[in-house]
Amino acid sequence: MRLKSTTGAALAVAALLATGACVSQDANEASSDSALSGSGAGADCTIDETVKIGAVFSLTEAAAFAGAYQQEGLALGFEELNAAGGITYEVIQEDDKTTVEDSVAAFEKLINRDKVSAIVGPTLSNMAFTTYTDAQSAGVPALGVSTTAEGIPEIGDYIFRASLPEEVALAASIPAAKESLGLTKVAVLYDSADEFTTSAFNTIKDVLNEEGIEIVAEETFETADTDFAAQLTNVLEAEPDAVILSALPGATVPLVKQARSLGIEAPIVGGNAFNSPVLVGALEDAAEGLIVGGAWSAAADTTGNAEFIAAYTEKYGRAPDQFAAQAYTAAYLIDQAIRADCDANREAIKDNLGQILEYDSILGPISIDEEGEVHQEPVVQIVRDGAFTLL
Amino acid sequence: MLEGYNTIITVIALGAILAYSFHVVLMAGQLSLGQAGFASLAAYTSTLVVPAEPIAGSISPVVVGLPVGAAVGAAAAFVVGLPVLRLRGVFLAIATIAFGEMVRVVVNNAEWTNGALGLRVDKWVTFDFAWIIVAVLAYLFWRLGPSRSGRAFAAVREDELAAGSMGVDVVRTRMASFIASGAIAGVYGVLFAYFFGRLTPATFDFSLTVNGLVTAVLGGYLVFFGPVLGAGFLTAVPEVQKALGLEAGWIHPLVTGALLLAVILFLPGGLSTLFSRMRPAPRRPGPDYAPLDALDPLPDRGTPIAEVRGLAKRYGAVDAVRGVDLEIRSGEVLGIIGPNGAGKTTLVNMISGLEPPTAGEGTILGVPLGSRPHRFAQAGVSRTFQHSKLFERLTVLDNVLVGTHVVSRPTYLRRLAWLPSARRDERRALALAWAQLERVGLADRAGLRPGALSYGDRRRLEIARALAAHPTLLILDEPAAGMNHVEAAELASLIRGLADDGVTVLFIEHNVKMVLEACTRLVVLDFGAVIAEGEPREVAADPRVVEAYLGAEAADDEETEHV
Repeated sequence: MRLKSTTGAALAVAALLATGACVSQDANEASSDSALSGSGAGADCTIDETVKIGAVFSLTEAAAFAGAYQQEGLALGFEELNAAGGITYEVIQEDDKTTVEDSVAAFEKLINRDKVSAIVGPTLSNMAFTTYTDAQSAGVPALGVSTTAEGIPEIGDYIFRASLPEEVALAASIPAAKESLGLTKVAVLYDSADEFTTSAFNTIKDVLNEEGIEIVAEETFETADTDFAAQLTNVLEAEPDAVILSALPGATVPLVKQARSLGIEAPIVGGNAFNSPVLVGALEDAAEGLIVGGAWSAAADTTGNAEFIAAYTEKYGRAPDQFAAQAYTAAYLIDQAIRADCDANREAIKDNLGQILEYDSILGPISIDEEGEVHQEPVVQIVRDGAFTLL
Repeated sequence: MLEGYNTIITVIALGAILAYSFHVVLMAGQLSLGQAGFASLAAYTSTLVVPAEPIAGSISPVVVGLPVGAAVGAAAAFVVGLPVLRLRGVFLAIATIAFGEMVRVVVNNAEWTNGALGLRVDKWVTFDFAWIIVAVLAYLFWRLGPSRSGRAFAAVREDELAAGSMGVDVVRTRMASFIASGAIAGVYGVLFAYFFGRLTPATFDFSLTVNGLVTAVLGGYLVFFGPVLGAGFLTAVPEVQKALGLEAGWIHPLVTGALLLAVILFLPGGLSTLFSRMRPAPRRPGPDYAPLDALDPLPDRGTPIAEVRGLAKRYGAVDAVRGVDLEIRSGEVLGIIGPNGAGKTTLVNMISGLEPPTAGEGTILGVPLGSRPHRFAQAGVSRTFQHSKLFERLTVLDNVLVGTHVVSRPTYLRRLAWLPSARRDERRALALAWAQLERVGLADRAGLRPGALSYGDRRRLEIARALAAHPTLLILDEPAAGMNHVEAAELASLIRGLADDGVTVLFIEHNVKMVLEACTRLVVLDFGAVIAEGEPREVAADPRVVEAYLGAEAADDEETEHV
């Protein structure tokens, strides 16, 4: 009896060992479903079958501040497209809880169980590095809406992004600020513990050199810091024309408030982190004079922007931010890619996402090249009387 | 066949492996939280050695990384353990957390690790690969449980002092569990990196430690499959909720948290408690064993087995023991009496290695004074404690089995290979333990926990455990305390029987009648010094003894009456 059960266990282990140590090499299944290709072209395209689009955002935990807006923006975009007719979209929303494990599991579910045509997300680049290799090897096009890290589009030909990197936005805001404010000397403050803000700092330095602007103070802090008195005192003594800040949302509010209460009157130039009505609300009076480089502006006169803001505010009871706007745009970009050949199969979407040229979106004219990288004009705004206005 | 569920299934396996690295330290009662550091070091190191192509065509290259990761984790644990394992409980936890943080900071700033951006590697770990590792670990822990080493782990967890007195090398056992934890954490790190294809310093942060600890505690560390249960539970609960349509963001964590709380509150041994009732009750081993035959013979009657000179112990300004000379000969029953605070327990603690003396020299069964307790135990000293120190979460039988530690051979490695000799050794230990239970009359309660025993039975169990070590010198510290007259008389006859078998007994007792009945020689201590020594009845009649001991008590009684 005992012998039998142990022999059985040993056999089972041996069998597992024999199969498991081998690496299975799955070939990409280039399956295509004829029901997902329709008739007509462009705006007249009609596809009978419902097109399933997966979405993976960080709806809970650390990155939920962005994920919630992204979910709403994307849902609004596809709702409008469904109302327009021709193609019916179904968004399958997953929450990655801001962890790599859940993000990978969500991608696997969308790819293998739900068999979606394309995936939007995830929220953070950190997860995208892992999940996008899965999407790439499964042959599912993925479109990032906030994955700004270097090297994301290079993961493969199925990987695209519609998210302007922080450093591009910051770099654009400096010449604009110089032009309108006549900057000659600035102070630079950045978060040295975060990879994005650090790499943005390097870009800032290069741009300042090119523009011939002198750096009179260079101060660093860490992501979790809450007291910036030492750095800000140095900045105050250097008497800069403007302060350039590369920080994550968490540190931005206390830093700007402390700067203003210490008596730093110079305009503060920041990146994506500033580009949110919530932030401006939290800063109250201290927000005045902030200069923000970003991918989208509520004040921009781009096609459909006013309608987007109105529809979003009505539906969700709060004003959209850049995350919402970029996710909203992603819905239209995917729609464009599908309508190009009137085909919602994965291959067709992949082929056509990389062909989008100067599409007139709420972010302005936007293009995605064959490598999957986004091209758009950054917008530079200044906060005046508590509202964003274009600089 | 499991299309679309690979990640979830693998995440369960990875969670179980991480939990095993906590399981092994918890088994030995250590709260070590440095696993994230070990995993991180192992994962990063493995990226240097794992080849880029499958080995021999189809074997996952991670098979190279696993032993390297395990070795790196084990080596790191050893180096960290040397200074850190002096600490206990919360202090050990804090020191090991600090180590984990150090690794994170170093990895974050090093060039070859690519700093905060992390590394990308190929995904060479499939879900069956991960589950094989879980199966191997479960096998290792399954075989560990009822082995000599497994019992040593349990004994150290339950009571380090008692474990040491039963011959378990406490320092080595703690170090072994710590190194095993490092090795398993290393394996986890490598598997994690090559399953997700990416590793960043942030992967191995404090939350990883918390996850592993929660999984291990939730699953339960008293049975070998606890980590698998814990990992399965923690992964399944959110999935089941999702399947039931509970989608709102805050409900998930709330329900998971509530279930976690319920398990911790109502199943203190973790989920595995549900299965522990399935264990068969211990049975009497077959009659084909004469366990005492194979044991070493005791020294001849009258041989000196211990001799100490000028033994002293000082606590600050208090002299607990002052210049005690003592010789113990084989076969005698030596009683030590004296008023409370006379230094009796301090004296036997020094003789059994629990406390180092401040002065004095001598050897006990050839072991110099001041050695660690397991050395004395291995030489043949076995003892009980004034306040019984039983292994409360082990059964009565398992308590006594720990006692056989010094007279059995290590069986774990042989058990892994199913060698018949290991089975023989285990049966011999069982027969030896069972014989002691019968000797003290506890055989019918072998399957109970000590907590279910009466006070007298607990003392008897402690004596059975001490006897299982086949001691040359048995030290009993107030064995009859709390016993009624019948029980005390039974105990006295047990002690005389032991002396007849050739066991030397040294015991501290307040029950004068029992001392006079059982002892062949009596030593009286007062204020840390020997005031009388010799034949029991003569000593009892010595006027100095009457004054110091009985007289003092009589004086106390008078005072009480006056008040």
